[in-house]
This record gives sequence, structure tokens and C-alpha cells, in this order.
Amino acid sequence: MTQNENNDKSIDPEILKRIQKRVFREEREFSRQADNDKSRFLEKIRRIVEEEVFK
Amino acid sequence: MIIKSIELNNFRQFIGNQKILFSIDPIKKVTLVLAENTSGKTTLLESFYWILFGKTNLKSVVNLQIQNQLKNGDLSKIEGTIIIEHAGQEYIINRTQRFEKMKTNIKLEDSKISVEIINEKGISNKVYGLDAKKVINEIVPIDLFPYFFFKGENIEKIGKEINKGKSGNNGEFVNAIKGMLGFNWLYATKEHLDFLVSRYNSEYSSSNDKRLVEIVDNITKARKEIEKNNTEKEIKEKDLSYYLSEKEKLSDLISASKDAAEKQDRCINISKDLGQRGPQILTDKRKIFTDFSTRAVEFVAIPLISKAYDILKETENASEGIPGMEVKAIDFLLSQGKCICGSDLCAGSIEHKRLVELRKLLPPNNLGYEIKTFKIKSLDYQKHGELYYDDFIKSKKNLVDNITFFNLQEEELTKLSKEVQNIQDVSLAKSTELDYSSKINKANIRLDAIKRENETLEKIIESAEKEKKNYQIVDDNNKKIALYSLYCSVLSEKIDRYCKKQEKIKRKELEDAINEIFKGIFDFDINIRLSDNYDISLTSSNEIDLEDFENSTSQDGVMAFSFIGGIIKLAKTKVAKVVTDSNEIDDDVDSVIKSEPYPLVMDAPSSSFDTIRIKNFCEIMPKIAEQVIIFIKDTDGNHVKENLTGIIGSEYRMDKKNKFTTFIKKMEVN
Repeated sequence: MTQNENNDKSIDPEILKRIQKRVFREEREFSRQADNDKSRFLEKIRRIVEEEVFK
Repeated sequence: MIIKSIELNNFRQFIGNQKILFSIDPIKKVTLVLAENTSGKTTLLESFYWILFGKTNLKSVVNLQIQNQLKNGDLSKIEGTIIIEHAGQEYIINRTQRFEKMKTNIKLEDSKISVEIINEKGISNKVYGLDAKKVINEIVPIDLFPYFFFKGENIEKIGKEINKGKSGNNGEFVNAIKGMLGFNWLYATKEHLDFLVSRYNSEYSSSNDKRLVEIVDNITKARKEIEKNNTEKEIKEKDLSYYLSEKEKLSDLISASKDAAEKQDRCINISKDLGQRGPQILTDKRKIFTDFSTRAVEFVAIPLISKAYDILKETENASEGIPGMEVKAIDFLLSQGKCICGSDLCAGSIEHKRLVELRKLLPPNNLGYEIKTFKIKSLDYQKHGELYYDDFIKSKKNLVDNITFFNLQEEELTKLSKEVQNIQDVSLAKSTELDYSSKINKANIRLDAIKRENETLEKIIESAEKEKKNYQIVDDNNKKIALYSLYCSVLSEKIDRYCKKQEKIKRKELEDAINEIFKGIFDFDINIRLSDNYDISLTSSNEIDLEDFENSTSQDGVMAFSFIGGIIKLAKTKVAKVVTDSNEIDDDVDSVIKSEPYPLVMDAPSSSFDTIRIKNFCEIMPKIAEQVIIFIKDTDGNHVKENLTGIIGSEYRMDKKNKFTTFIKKMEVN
């Protein structure tokens, strides 16, 4: 467990895992592509986080 | 990845359509391409880089003859195709680049890339542009290209860098390692999450949570300050590393030149001495000649005078007569009849008689007085003559000694001057060394200050984070932002911990692989250690081995090969599954590079090796890589062939017709 996880009860491990899976998938895809739009990609990651937290 | 073939069409000097089929036999895994220098070995290696990534280190990839033959407005193209086998599929990678003749120059269009993927069932799928680029990067990350396809001329450079512990500063290398471990995208993920955290922090609304915004602002400011400090720290550390290395070089130079410095000082002193001694010798010589002219007669006359003295010693009346007066003077007085005292000189007078008597005692009738004078003078002559002799002997000895010393000094000066003529001015080195010492001192002071500043800032952040944690957010939207930000932070921390652990494991595996290969080529008792920054250090229980290795001319080559071999060996292994306390993360992490065989493509690898090392290298390399492709000079090639008996599967020879044209011909494998 990380420091934040230990200290914060508001972290749900299941949500974190879902975020992790989706973010990793996107990131790996992004890393294999060249000349991608980084800010659009960051918005995508942001949407994933927000969707998973308030699912 | 196994390379099946490369086909080039008008790529630089490879005019027309030329193809090499590489050996894919698992036993006869070596393909040799023999060529004289300047035939196109490096160009062939560059053609891989161009086809895969559209990049080149060559000035131009266009054939100059074709360029010259084209008329204004004519179009032509360059083309290259590599066929590889990767993860059970065949990839046909093709790149073309069109160009147009514009008066005397050419205008190159952007190159076009396509990859045709044929799966095990023979179903084909063709991708273009960015998709093709993505496929290639999955197979051969560009950062790894220099390690799988390397130029002989780079071997020593890589070896020198890693041998001097510079690998940690080599971004290309560190990226290649991280890429190979599949960590690059993970680090990028962490960076993206951190960026999102800072973005969320800037979005808190202050209307209901004024204090929260203040806290977050303080944290952001402190983090920015730390970031700024870290950027400065990075620059200062690079500067410091440069200063230390330059100072070390100068210290070595000064130390090596200490003897030279003494010699230089000696040269200066001798030159000064000779400058004074030379004119003095001339003065001494002149004095000897002058003395000889004026005084030598006294010495030379000694025997004669001595003899005369002996003869005249007993002569009577030696004391009579009047000094300076001769008979003529008396005769004159007598003829005048008057003495000088005024007396008349009449014949028979006492005065007359006295003068007549005196006349008998005067020269030339009598030499008594002259003899007396001579006797006195002869003693002086003898004394002076003897003194001159003593003086002459002394002066002569002194002169001979001085000339001998002068000649010896001159000989020494010539010898020393030759010895020190190629040595740099040590005084300049000493002053530069002092300058570096001062810079090192200043850099260390600043680094210390940065460390303290960062510690203070970290405390500020810690305290603010604590306050933020305990802060009861009022605004609902701010509550959401805080939660998003928290998830991003937690995930970022997990990735960081995971990467650090994995890197440690992989570093150790790489270190072991490097050592195994190194010891196979070099029979010295030396261990290679990889630091956290991938810096290499050498250790040995045998000081002599370490010294011998450091003095060995092929050490850089062996080091580079061990390193490259280690990386290839590691690339074959799948990223290890490690149980971390951050759990699950491994399940989501799949290596960018799968467990795959990798080829080793080398341009002129053996030029820096001696016979034994070539033999060892030929034994080791085919064991590491599943496929070995060597572009090599004819003369070296024959020697390499002797050591690769039974494992050469394919052989080609480059036939250079002129500087615009080289043909690649298939040869029979003996």
C-alpha cells in the first residue's frame, strides 16, 4: 500500500484497479503511436479517472 | 525478431535492385558480408535505419549518378524492403522516397512506410504511415537500434563511455534499457498522472474553500520551486561531473609532467648558466692570449737570463761607472775642454785625468753598471716568469674546466629539450586545475544550498499536505476534484515503486549477463558492476589483471561487446514477474518487448581486436544472438571465417565498381 492509500480511507482499491487497467491500456497504446496529441490524450486519462470514481 | 532479407533499390551506391538473403538457420546463423573499405558496409547498416525509421546519418541516400543523369523535372525514387519474422508473424517493411530533379539539385518528398503483416495462417494485413510506425516501434524500439545494429566505429565510443562510467549520463542508453524493460510507457504514465494532479490542484474553487486554495497554492509554489531547484541541480551536477573529470585529467597531466616540470626548470637554469658561462669563457681565452703576448717572454727567457746571470755573476767592477753615461759624453766634454761643472779641462789637470780614468769605466769600454743593472733585473725577470707560468697553468686549467662543463651542460640541455618539447606547459595546467577546484567548490556549495532549500520546501509541502488532508472541504465540486487528484497521486506512487523494484532486478540481470560475456572474451579476473545509474565500474581481486586490462588496447571493444551482448541476452527474456506490495500492478504490466530472439547486426566489428579476442568473440556472439550478421573487411573476414566454421549460413561480397556503384554478390559458403 502506498502512503496515500494507507492514510486515506477514501481510496477504494477496486476503483483504483479499474483506473489502473484502463489508464495502462491507453498509455501503452499512446506509447506505441507517434505524433499523438498529448493534451487530447491527457483529457482521455482524465475522463477515465472521473468516470471510474463516480461510476 | 529474425531478419530474413533486405532489398534495396537505388539506395545510395547500391544501384538498381539488390538483395541479401540472411541466414535464418538456427545452427548456421551467421551471414557474412565481405567488403573492402568504402564499398558500402556502413551504408548497408544505415539502410536498415532508413527503412525502419526513415532516418539516416548519411549525407544523402540518393545515388549521385542517377541524380546527375536526371533532367530538370524528372522523378525517381529510392526504395528499401526488409522482411522479418517476429512473434510467429512475417513483416514486410517497405519504405519508398520519391524525389524530383530541380535544376542541379533534387527535391525529396517525405518517405512512405508500409508494413504488411502475414500471420501464421497466411492472412495478410497491410498498414501504412503512423500505424506502420507503431508496428515497427513494437518490434524494434528506435532507442534500441544502435545496440542491435551497431557500427564498428561506435564500439570504442560506447566502450569508452561505459568504461569511464558515463553510461548513466547517456540518455540514449538509459532510454534503451528502460524501453527494453517496457518501462518507458510506465514512466510516461506516471508523468501524465502527475500532470493531472497539478491540473486538478489549479481547479479548486476558492469561493467556499479559501484556505484550501491557499494551501494548494503553497504546495504548487513549493513544488515549482523544487522543480526549478532540481533543474538547476541537474545542470550543476553535470557541470560538477565535467569539472571533476577535467580536474582529474589535469591532475594526471600534472602528475605525469612532474618530472617534466623538473626537467623544464633544469633547462631554464642550464640555459641561464650557459648564457653567462659562454661569454666568460671568451673573456678568459682573450686574457690568456693577452697575458701570453705581454708576459710569456719573461717565462720563455728564464733559462737564457739564468745562464747570463750565472756568467755575469762573478764580473768585477760591476758596480762602477755612471748610470746612463757613455764614452761619447766624456769625449764630448774633453773636446770642449770644459766640464759640466764649469771647470776647465786642460790636459794633465786633475779634472782631465779623472775624466780620462772615468772614460775607461764607461760603455762601450766598460759594461759594469749595465751588468749590475742586468743582474738586478734578471732576478725580477725570473720571478715574473715563474709567476706567469703559475698564472698560465691556473688560467688554462680554469678555462679547460669551464669549456668541459659548458660542453656537458650543452649536451644535457639538448637532451632535456628533446624530452620536454612535446610536453604541455604545466604551469598553465596547474592554473586551470586551480580554476576547476574553485568551480568544484562553488558547485558543491550551491548543491548543498539546493539540498537544504529543497528540504525546507519538502517540509512546507508536508505540513501543507497535512493541513490539506485535515481540511474539511465545503464545496462539493472541490470534494470531487480532491478525490480525482488523490486517485491520480496513488496510482503515480504505485507505478514509481513498481518501476524502481523492477529496474533493480533487471539491472542485476544485465550485470550478470555482461559479466558472463565479458569473461568469455577476456580471460582476466575482473568483475563488472552496474550502478543505479547504469554506470560501470571494474573490480578485481587481482590488481595486476585490472592494470593489464586497463592498459589493453582492446578493452573498449570488449567492454562494448559485453554490454551489447548483455542487452541482447536480456531482450530475449520476458520481464520478470515480481510480487510487489502494491499488488496487482504486475497483472496489468505486459512488456513492450516480448520474449523474442534478437539479431546482432554489426559493421566491421573485429578491427579493434587481436587474434585471441576475435576467436573468443566468434565463439561467444553466436551463442548470445539467434542471428548474427557481420559486415566486414575482406582481410578481417577471412580470419573471422576461420573461427566461425560450420555456422556460416550465408555469404555475400560487395563489389565496388566506382564511387557511385556497388554490387552485392552472393558467394558460395565453403
